Amino acid sequence: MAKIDKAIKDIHTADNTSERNNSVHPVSWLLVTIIYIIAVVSFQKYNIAGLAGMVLYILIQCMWHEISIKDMIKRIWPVFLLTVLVGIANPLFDRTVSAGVLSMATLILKGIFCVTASYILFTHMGIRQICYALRILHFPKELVTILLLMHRYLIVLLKELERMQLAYKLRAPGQRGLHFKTWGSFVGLLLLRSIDRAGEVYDSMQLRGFNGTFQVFPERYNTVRSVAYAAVWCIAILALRIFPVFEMMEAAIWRILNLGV
Amino acid sequence: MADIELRGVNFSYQKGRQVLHDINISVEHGKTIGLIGANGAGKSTLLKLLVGLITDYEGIIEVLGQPVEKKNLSDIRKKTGYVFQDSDSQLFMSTVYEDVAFGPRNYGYSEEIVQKKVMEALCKVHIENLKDRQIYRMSGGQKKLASIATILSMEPEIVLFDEPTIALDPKNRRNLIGILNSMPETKIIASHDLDMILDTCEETVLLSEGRIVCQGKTKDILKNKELLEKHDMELPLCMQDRRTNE
Ligand SMILES: Nc1ncnc2c1ncn2[C@@H]1O[C@H](COP(=O)(O)OP(=O)(O)OP(=O)(O)O)[C@@H](O)[C@H]1O
Ligand SMILES: [Mg+2]
Repeated sequence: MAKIDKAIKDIHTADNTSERNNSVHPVSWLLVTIIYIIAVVSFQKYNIAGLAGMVLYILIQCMWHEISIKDMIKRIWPVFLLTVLVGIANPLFDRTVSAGVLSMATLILKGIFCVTASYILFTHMGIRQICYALRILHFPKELVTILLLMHRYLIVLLKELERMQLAYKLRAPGQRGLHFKTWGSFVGLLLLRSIDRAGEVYDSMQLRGFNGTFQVFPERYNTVRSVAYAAVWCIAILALRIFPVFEMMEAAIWRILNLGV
Repeated sequence: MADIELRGVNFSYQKGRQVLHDINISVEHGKTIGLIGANGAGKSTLLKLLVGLITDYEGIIEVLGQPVEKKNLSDIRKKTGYVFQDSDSQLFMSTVYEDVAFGPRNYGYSEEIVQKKVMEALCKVHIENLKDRQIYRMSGGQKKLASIATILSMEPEIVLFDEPTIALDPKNRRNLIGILNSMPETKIIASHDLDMILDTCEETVLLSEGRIVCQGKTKDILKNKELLEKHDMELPLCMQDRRTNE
C-alpha cells in the first residue's frame, strides 16, 4: 500500500521537479544521452578497460546535479539485477571461461551504464519534455504518443492497484499479501479496470484538445546553454570513447612498473 | 437557433439492448437544463453523445449548429466542456496547475495567456490555494472542483456536468451551486441531487430507462411526487414534509 503510494508520488515528483528548473533544451539532454548510450554499446565485448572510462560521465552528472547515487541504486537495482542475470550465462558460451567472464563483465557494465544514463535523463526531464524532444528529432508521432500514454497508463495502473488492494485487505484482515487462489482473478480484474480507466483518461485528454502533439514552451530554454551543454558533452563522450582513459592510465602504470623493474 | 439539438436519437452499446429511445431535446443559448433519472437511465450516455465520445447513434444531434460527427469533433470539443462523473478519470496531470493548463496549452496559447486562463478558472471555483497541490493527494471534493476548473480554463460555450455535486460537502455543494448559477454558459446538468437541480435549472428532462418521460419547468416536475416515485426517485429534500421527533 505505502509502496504503491510512494511509487505514484515518485513518478509525479519526477515529472514536476524536472519540468520546472531546467534551462537546457530537452533536445540537448536527449541527444547527449543517446550519444552516450551509443558510445557505451559500441565497445567491443572484451574491452572492459575502455568501457570502464565511461563511468566518468555518470559520476560527473551525479556530482554536478546532486543526484544521490544511493537513491539511484535503491530505485533501479531490479534493473541492475536483470542485467546481471542476462550476463551471467555468458562464461558458458564464450570461447574460454576467462574470456566469458570478461565479456560478462562488459555486458553487465554496458547494461548498468545505459540504465543509469536513462535514469539521469529522467531525473531532469518530465515525460512531456522527453516526448517533445523525441518529436523534434523526428521520431514518429505514433511512437511518441504511445510512450506518453504508457507513462500515463502506469500511473492509472498503480492507482487502480492501490484501490483494489485496499478493498481486498479490508475484507481479508490478518492475511499477508494476496491468497494465491485469487491471483488470477485479481490480475485479470486489475487489467480490465485499468484499461477502462485508461480509456476514460484518454477521452478526457481528447476532450481537452490533445491530438498527439506536445506543448512545451521553447522560450523558456536558454539556447546558448543548450548548445554549449550538448557540444561539450558530445566532445567529452567521444573523447572517452576514442581514448580509453583507464586503459591509458593502466598502460602508464605498467610502463612505470616495467621501468622500475 | 438552439445551442444543443437532439432529434429522434436512438442509441445502444450492444445490439439488442437499446439504451436511449427517441430522444428529443433542444437547449437554447444560455439556458441550464437538468437531466434527472434513476441509476442506469442513460444520463451519462446522453452527455457522452453530445461531445462525440460515442458516435454511432441514430438520429440527429447538433451542437452549436454542427452535427456531431467525426469531422466536426475537434471544433465541437473546443467549445463544449464535459465534467466527468468520476474526477479520477478527468484529471491526469500531476498538479492542479498542470491539469488546468492542459486544455489551453493544447489550443496553442502562449504561456502567459495560459497562466491567466488557469488563474481565472481556479478563482471561479475558489481553489487558487490548491494551485500547486499534487492531485493524487487531494480529497474527492477538491478533485471535483479541480475538474470543473480544467473545463472552465478552456472557456467553453457549453458545459456538460455529470453528477457535479457528488463527493462535495454541504459547504462546497452550496459553493458549487453559486458557481453554477453565476456561469453564463449553456449548461446541461445530469444529477440525482434534485435539490441542486431545483436551485440551478429552469427546465428539467426526466429520463427513465432511456426514454424521456417528462420535460418542462423544473419546479413542476420536482414537486410531482407521483411522477418521481413512478420512476424510482424521491421528492427533493426541501419539498418533503419535515417530520420532527417532538
Ligand atoms: N460502456 C458501456 N457498455 C455497455 N453498456 C453500458 C456502457 N455504459 C453504460 N451502459 C449501460 O447503459 C445504460 C445507461 O448507462 P448510463 O451510465 O448512461 O446511466 P446513468 O443514467 O448515467 O446512471 P448513473 O446515475 O448510475 O450514473 C445502463 O444500463 C448501463 O448499464
Ligand atoms: Mg451516470
